[in-house]
Amino acid sequence: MIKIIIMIFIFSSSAISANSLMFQPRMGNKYYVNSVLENIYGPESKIILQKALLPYSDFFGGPCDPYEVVLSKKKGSSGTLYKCFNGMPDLRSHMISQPSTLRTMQMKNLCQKLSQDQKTLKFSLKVLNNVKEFKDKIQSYYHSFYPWDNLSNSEIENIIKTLNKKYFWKTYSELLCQSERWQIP
Amino acid sequence: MNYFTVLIILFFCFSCNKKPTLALPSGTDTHFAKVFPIIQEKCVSCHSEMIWNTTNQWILSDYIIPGNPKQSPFFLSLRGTHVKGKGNMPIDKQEDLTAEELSIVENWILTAKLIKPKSNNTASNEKKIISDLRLFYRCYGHLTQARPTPSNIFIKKIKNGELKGLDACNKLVKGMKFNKNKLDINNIDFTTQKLMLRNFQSLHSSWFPNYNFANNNQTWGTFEFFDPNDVALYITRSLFNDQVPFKEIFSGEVTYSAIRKSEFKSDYLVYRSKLELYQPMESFLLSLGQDATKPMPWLPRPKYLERGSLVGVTATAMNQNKINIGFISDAVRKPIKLNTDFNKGFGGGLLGSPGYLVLNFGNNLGTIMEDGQHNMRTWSKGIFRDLFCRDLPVIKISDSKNYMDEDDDEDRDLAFEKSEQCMQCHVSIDSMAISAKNVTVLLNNLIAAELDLEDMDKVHLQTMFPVSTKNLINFKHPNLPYANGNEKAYLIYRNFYDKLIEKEFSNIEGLGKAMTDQIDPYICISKRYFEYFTGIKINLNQLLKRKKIHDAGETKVYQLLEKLGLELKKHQNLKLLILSIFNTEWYHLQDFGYNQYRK
Repeated sequence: MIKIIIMIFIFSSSAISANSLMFQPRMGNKYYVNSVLENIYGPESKIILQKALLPYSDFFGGPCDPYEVVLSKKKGSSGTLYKCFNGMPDLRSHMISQPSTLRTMQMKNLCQKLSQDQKTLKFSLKVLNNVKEFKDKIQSYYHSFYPWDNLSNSEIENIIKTLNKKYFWKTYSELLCQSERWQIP
Repeated sequence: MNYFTVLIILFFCFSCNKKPTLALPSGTDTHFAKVFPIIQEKCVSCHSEMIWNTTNQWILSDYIIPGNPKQSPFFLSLRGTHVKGKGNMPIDKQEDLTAEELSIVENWILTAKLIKPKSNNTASNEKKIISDLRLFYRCYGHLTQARPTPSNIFIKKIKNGELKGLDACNKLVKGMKFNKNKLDINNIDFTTQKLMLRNFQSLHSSWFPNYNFANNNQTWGTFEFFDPNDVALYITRSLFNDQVPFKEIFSGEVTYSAIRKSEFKSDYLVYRSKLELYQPMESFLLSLGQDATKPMPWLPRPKYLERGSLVGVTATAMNQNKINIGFISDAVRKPIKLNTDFNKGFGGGLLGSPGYLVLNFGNNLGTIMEDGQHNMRTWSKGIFRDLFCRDLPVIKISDSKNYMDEDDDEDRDLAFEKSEQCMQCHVSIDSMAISAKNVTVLLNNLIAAELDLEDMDKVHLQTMFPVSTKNLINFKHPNLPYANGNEKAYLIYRNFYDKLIEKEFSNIEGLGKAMTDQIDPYICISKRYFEYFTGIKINLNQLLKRKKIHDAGETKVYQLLEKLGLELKKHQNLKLLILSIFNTEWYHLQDFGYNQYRK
C-alpha cells in the first residue's frame, strides 16, 4: 500500500518536469486494418472482419459516422454501409491507436479466423499462382503484407525450418497477419 | 485492493490532516534542500500541488520567480514577509514560518535558476530513411486509412523509377479537391478521393471531443438537424477547396452541411435505441407544442440532414428551418415566441456555428447569461482546447492579479474573482464568453403522431437549437439587458512566445478576427496534423512552459511548429501545410525519429 502512495506522489510530482513530447508507434485504425486484410483475404473475409474487427473501435481506433449508415425497413432495399457499433461514443473514437495487449489479442483472434477459413486462406494464396519456386512463394506471400520490403535468404531459410510443413501456409498466413509492422501505415 | 480502498488512500493523502513525505532527488541544490522540509511540514498538507521536489518545477509552475522573492506568488502568500503580498499563509497561525525559515525561503528564491537537463539523445543517432515505395505506402495510408491496390499507377511508376515517393504523395495531396463544392465523380481516382475526404473529415472531427447533444433532456432529435461533426466541415472544406483560405473558417454566419450520396433512402433515425438504429421515420410528422393529439405543423417543414457517403460540403440553405416557438424544458410548458432560423450561424464561422454552440453550451436550457454567474464558459474553454490546443490556465498566476476584483461590492459577491488561482482561468474564459452572451439554447418537440412511439420517445425526440436573445419576442427576463447589451469581450492569454495578449472585440465574429490575427490557431492546427502524420504527441502547454529547458527533440519540434504556423498564416493553405510536414525529416525516418529523440 505504501508503494502505491509513493507511486501516486511520484506521478504527481513529475507532471511539470515531464517531457512535452510522447513518442509511441502509431498503428492504423480499424479502417486501415480492414482495407489491408480485405485486399489480402478477399470478399469472403467481410463477414469475419465485420464481426472480429469493426466493432472494436476501442482497441483499433477509427471514428464512426452515423450519417453514413443507410438502412431501410423495406425488404430488399437495405443499403447498410457499416454500423456505428457502440453508439454515439464511436463518433469520437481515436483516429489512430497505440499498440496494446487488447489490440494484440483481438488481432490474434481475427487472424486465426481468417487463416482457418478455407475460402479466405485460398483467396490469399492466389498471389502464388504463377510463382514456381517455394522460396519465391514465401517471398511473394510476404509481399502481401509488406509490399515495400523483402525477406533475406536466411530469413526465408528460417521460416522453412521453423514452420510445420503440413500446415505451412495456414501458419505462415496467421503469423504475418498477426505481425505488427504492417499495421503501422 | 479495491477501488474504494484506493479512493480512501487518496482522500487521506490529499486531505489537510496528513503530511505525506517525498524524497529529494540526488544533486538537489542546498538552498532547496533546506526549504523542502519546511514546505513539507507547513504547506503540503493543504496544497497538494506543492509536492514538487525540484527548484525547476517550482519555477515552471510560476510559483516562484527566480531572483525575485517580492514578485513570487509563493513568497507573497507567506505571513510575515512584509512584502505587501496577501500574507495569509499558513492558515493556522500556529504553523507560521519563523523568521529564520522565511529567510531560508527568500534565499532560495534569490538564488534559484532553471537548470537545463543534459542532452539525452544518445539512444541511437543512426537515421534510417525509408524507401520511396515505403514512403508512398505510408502517406497513402495516412491520407486514406487504406492501402493502395497493387495496380495503383503511382506504385508502378515508383517501382520503375519514374516517380519519387514524395512526389507521388504530393500528387495525392494536391488531388484532394472539390469541383465547386463536391468531389468530381468523373475523376479517374474518385475512390481514393472519397476515402481521403472521409478520412480527413473524421480526423478533423476528432479534434473536437464533445460529441453528444443530449443532456439532461435527452434530446435525441437534435441529431436529425445538427451534425455534431459540422464544425469539422469548415476545416474539411478549406482543405478541399483552394479558394477557401484557412482563416475563413473563423468568419461569417454561413453554416455548412455535408453533401452525401446514397443509393437508398434511409427510414431510420440516426440515434440508437436498444442497440439498433431507431426505426420509425417514414411519414414522420414534425410539430410544435406539447400536445401530441393536436400537432401544430412546423412550416416550412424542417429539412433533415443527408445520409450516405460523404462527397462534399455545401453552405446550408437559409430559411428552410425557420422556427417561431421554443421551450426551456420538457417540464416548463410555457412556450417562448421567437423568430429564428435554425441554420444561421452567430458569426465567427465555426466558433458561432449552431452545432458548436449547442455542444458547448454548458448551461441549463434557457439560461439567459448574466455577468459573472452564468456565461458561456464551457464554450470559451472549448475554444482554447479545440482551436488553441491549450488547457487552462493560459496566463501566469502573476498575470491574474491585474484582473482581480478588489472592490467590496456586496451586489457582486463572486468569491472566485478574489482568488488569484481561480482568476488564472476565469480571466481568459469569462472575458471571451462575453462575446456569446446573447446565446441561449431552447428546445422544441418533434412529435411523431403517426408513429407507434413509446412514452419516453416524445422526450427523446426533442431538438435543441441555439437562439439569440435578441430574437426572443415579448420575453421578459432580468438578465436580458446584459445579454443584449454592448459589453466588450477580450481575448486574454499568453501566446506561443509567452507574450500576454489582450485584444478587445464585440461579438463572435470579432473573436474570429482577433484569433486569426494571432499565430496560435495556426500553431494548433500545425501541431494536430504533425501529430497525426508522425505519431509524435505534443503537449503544447508543457512545450511552452518548458521553453527554457527544452531538450533536443523539444527544441526541434518547437522550431518546426513555429515555422509551420508562420507559413500557414502567410499562405492560408492546409494542403501546403500537409506537404510541408511530408517534407520534414521526421516523416522520412523509419521510426519517425522516436529513437533519436525519445528520452
